[in-house]
Amino acid sequence: MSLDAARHTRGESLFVDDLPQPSGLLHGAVFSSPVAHGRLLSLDLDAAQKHAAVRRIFTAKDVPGENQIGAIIPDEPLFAEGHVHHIGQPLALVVATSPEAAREARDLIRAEIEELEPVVCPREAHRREQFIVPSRSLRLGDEAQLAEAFAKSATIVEGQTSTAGQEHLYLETQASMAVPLEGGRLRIYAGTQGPTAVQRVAARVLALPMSAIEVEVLRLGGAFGGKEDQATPWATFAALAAHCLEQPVKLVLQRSEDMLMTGKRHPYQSDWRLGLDQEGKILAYEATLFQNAGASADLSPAILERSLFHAANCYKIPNARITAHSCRTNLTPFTAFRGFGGPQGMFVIESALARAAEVLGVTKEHLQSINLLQSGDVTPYGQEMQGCVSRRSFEQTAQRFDLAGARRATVEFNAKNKRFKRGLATMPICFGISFTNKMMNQAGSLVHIYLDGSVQVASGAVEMGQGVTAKLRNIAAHTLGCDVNLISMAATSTTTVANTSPTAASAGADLNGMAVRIACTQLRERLDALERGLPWKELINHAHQERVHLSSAAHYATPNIHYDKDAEWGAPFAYHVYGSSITRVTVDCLLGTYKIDSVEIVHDAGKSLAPLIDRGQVEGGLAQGIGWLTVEDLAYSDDGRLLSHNLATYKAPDIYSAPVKIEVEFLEHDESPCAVLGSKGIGEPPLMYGIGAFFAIRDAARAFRPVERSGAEDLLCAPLTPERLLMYLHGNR
Amino acid sequence: MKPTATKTISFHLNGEAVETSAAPGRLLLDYLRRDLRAVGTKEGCREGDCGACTILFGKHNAQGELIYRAVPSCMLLMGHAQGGYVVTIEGLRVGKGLNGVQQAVVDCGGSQCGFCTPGFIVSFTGFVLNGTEFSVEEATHAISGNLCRCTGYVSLVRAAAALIGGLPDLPEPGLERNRRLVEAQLLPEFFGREVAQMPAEEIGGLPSEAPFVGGGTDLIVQRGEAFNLEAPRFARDLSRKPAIRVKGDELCLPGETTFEELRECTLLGKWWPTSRTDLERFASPIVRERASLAGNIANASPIADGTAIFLGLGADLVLTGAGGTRRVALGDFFHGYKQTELQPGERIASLRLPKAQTGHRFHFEKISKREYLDIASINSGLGIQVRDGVIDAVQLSAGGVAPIPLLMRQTAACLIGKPVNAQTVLEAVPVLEAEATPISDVRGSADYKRLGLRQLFFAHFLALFPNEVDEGQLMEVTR
Repeated sequence: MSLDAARHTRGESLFVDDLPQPSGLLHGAVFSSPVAHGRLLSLDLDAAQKHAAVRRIFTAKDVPGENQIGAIIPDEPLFAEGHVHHIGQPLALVVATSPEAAREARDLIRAEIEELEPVVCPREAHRREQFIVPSRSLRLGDEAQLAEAFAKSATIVEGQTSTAGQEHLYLETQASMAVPLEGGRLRIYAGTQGPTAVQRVAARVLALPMSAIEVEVLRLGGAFGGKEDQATPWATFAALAAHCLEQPVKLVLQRSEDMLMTGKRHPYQSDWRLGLDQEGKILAYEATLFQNAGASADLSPAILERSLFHAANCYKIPNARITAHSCRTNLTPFTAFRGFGGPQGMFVIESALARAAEVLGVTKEHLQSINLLQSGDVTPYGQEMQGCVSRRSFEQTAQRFDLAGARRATVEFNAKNKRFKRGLATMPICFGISFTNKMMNQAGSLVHIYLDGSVQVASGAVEMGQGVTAKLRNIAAHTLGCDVNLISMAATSTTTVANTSPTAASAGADLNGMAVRIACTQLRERLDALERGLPWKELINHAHQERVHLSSAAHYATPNIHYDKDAEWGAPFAYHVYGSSITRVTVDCLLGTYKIDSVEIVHDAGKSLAPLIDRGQVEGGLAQGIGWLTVEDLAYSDDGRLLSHNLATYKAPDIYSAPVKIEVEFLEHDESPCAVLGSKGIGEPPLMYGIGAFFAIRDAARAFRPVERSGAEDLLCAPLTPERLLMYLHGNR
Repeated sequence: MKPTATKTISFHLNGEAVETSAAPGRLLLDYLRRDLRAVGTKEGCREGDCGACTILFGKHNAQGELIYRAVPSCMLLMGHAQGGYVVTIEGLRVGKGLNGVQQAVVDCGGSQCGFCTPGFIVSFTGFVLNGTEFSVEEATHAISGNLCRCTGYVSLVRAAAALIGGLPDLPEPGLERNRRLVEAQLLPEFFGREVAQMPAEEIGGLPSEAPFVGGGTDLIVQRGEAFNLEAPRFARDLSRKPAIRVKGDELCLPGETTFEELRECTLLGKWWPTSRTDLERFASPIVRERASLAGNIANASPIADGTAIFLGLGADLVLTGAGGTRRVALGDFFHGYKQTELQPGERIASLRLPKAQTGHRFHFEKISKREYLDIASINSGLGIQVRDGVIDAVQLSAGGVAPIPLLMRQTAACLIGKPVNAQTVLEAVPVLEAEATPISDVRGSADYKRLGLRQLFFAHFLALFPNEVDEGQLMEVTR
């Protein structure tokens, strides 16, 4: 369980908006562009300025340093200047004595904008050559070999797919509070996965040294990638106002503000072509991915890279060319979301296999099973697979949960029933662990043992419900050899551990866990040099008497990873996570509605540091993946306005849309490389089991309206909402 | 207008009396978090859709016993709280450890980031206080208005099972049950105290043009913080539980009846046999606890589930105002988008269901993105009377296909006098499709809504006449 679970249930856990309020606290509200693309002619602040409760209104000209928050590419201003590039792009920050007054005054601001034509479709942006970064291609074999492989193929299928974006819907909206300290210093209580990112950007915007800014994170009420880069502007706004007004300032977004102004999972479109031999073995694959990046880079280049790396999922593809374009559009910049582009890449190859299975007249699970990767195979990004348990997890799933029987039962049910059809899909996964940017694969820790024997552990990891603090505490107790209850976890702070990577990429426990383990090992070695056999508290006392250093700071950097971007070849991942699932659904073909009957999973978690937490990560990730491809429908108007911007219109899974039954079995093995104490990262990979729900529903829909009857309609557009499904089942052709 | 130098609002919070001069139109959620710094109650959406701000709200029942129900505190204005008994997550702490509800959630891994957790604990507690059947299904239903983005819910369902397994034998909801729960350390001591009803007191001095608010579940979302500045009039008096009663041949439903009261009412069977399951798909339990019958109708949303049901049941409304009382057919109540028969100062006093004839059948169906806890893309109710195999009377409603909740008179007319079979149903389809004039919006395209309406129409007949109407024939039709 989460270390804080007991506190959560008593309502004692504090989030940013719950912290004790410093006296003189002011509140911010952000005025943002009502237009997706245009020239900013003027900003009328007069009426808002006159509001009695307003202390100050900030715009671009009030930034003491650089008006720039872009992390990978400096292409995103804190406040828009000259042009606006998406609806929800911040133009002004109103600071007032209460949040209500700040919003009231904010609503009095008028912007005069000369509207320009917005681009919302990534293919359109591609046609206009509006790219965030140069396009990239991975290849296995050269162009001639690829052409030859297609020429040799007994079957070639091709088509297009699309996946929509996804709102993170962290239950706690974006929130930050900045408090001025003496001497122009600032402390920011930020709801961020990346305290260092906030510190760095705030320093840049305020023209302060990073050392003048402390960022502290106690915990996040969910993040899922949505607070990796996208927490930064709100923390920076609070910091700017607190710094200039010399008063504490809090900025908490309301739900619809958050949904309108913050980035989401990237929508993708794609073209693909798959060649197979007579048995159904993949010979050649080419795919072009059009990433809808939104108006500025945010993390899009890194997400694009992971889409490329996971475009082949867990399949052996001897000849491949996978191209990806990061397309600049006039939507709110899209950002990290659990899976980080990987799910979007995997969806494409799964679509190609689904189509190929129909053409070949075999099941999709058969095609998947005969194409799985093995140790020694090389991926399109050049990494040789080691300790690959792709087949093993697929076979164990098939046996343990009787895949053949399940398929038989589905066919029998469908033969007997008209209105209700059942569908089934298997979903094997292979997900690489490490930040694909090598520099980010480092972490730090600071461990203090106090005189009474109690221990405080600090690291760069941010707790957001994924249970990283519980895992780190277990590692510390195991390594120090003391009672786990003596160990408390410090709030994440840039003053205890500096220059940290965000808690992301499923690597939070891996990297920080190693840093904690190293620090604790150093302490244990110092203690072991003393008299042996003393009880812990006496040992610590004795160590202090002997003037032994009872604090230790450590640093860890993942070894042996490398990637050459020019050659698009290397070994970017420390290891891979594998697993496989079977999803069964029932579709009501009269109404176009569906129920996920069961999802059965065999998942490779290594040697779990905390089995209850890992189970929770698998179940929760699965639910998010299902939501992404089924009911979660980010609807935009043609002029770039998000239509589903509150919880009345955007539907994430509720308790009744969760699968009726979820079974999770962990694969036990010691074949593949792994992370700290034999464990493996678990945050992201399970999300991709959700892809199985899409293909299981599609399987049922095809049973009702077979491919022969539906012609060219491929049903490869996600999410598969009840609307899309009903239109497929009964709509015009 | 600003509320004039205000009267005090008095209520109980976690067993202690509270008096405040907070504006009656302010959200209780804001008052709890900002003024009292009772920050265990979380703000997730401010529109009743996530359950993070769920609290217990106590009212006295007809027997004078205090009954607590789980409700979202973003769906309660301060004026609603007048005379009420509010319990927040802070008020559920038993000593320094965990009570049985909390322990079950912790043990089963039902709390990850923790932001939604207080809301789940409160909803579970509402179940323990009010449940009549202690099954995992019922416990799941009790938390179905709470969203969690971390767990995928399965661990919370496991927690429900663990919680039920650990419950003592419990008497009917009321003081005796509360005391048993206090003994079992599931609730703190104040739940066991006898609490006298506070005298009902109007929050007076309000101008007649002030907006009427029932439960507020729709108006609060629409008006947001504007209610802060207004002084709405509150339609329901806490001290009086509205009585659903049979009056002559009719069933009389007071306008202030909540949808949860309706769901629990045992009198409805003769008029509306499927009320319990139909209403499960209406909003969520915590919102149904607030949403009133009159509000659902008066807000004139074209996709109101309640309205679609009552149109199908052939209901009449009794309106009351300065000019006296009058009666209109629900089918004549809606004039245009958000335009109704209501005159200024007038409100819906009650809803009347006509005497149910023998052989009368009713079916309600809706399509939404999520099966539960969602607003309909389209919905429809069909009340139908068949005599000697021939359709004798039809009330067919359709929501989401016109600016108003539509009574489908032409389609109904085309069914009358015909035998009940697939042929009759199919013959009515062109009329049905012509009578609907849906528009494309965030809940679906016009094409989808028109197609969906046809499918709902089929679903009615397949559900009500499985022997007469051939499923195969209806499933074969494409457009």
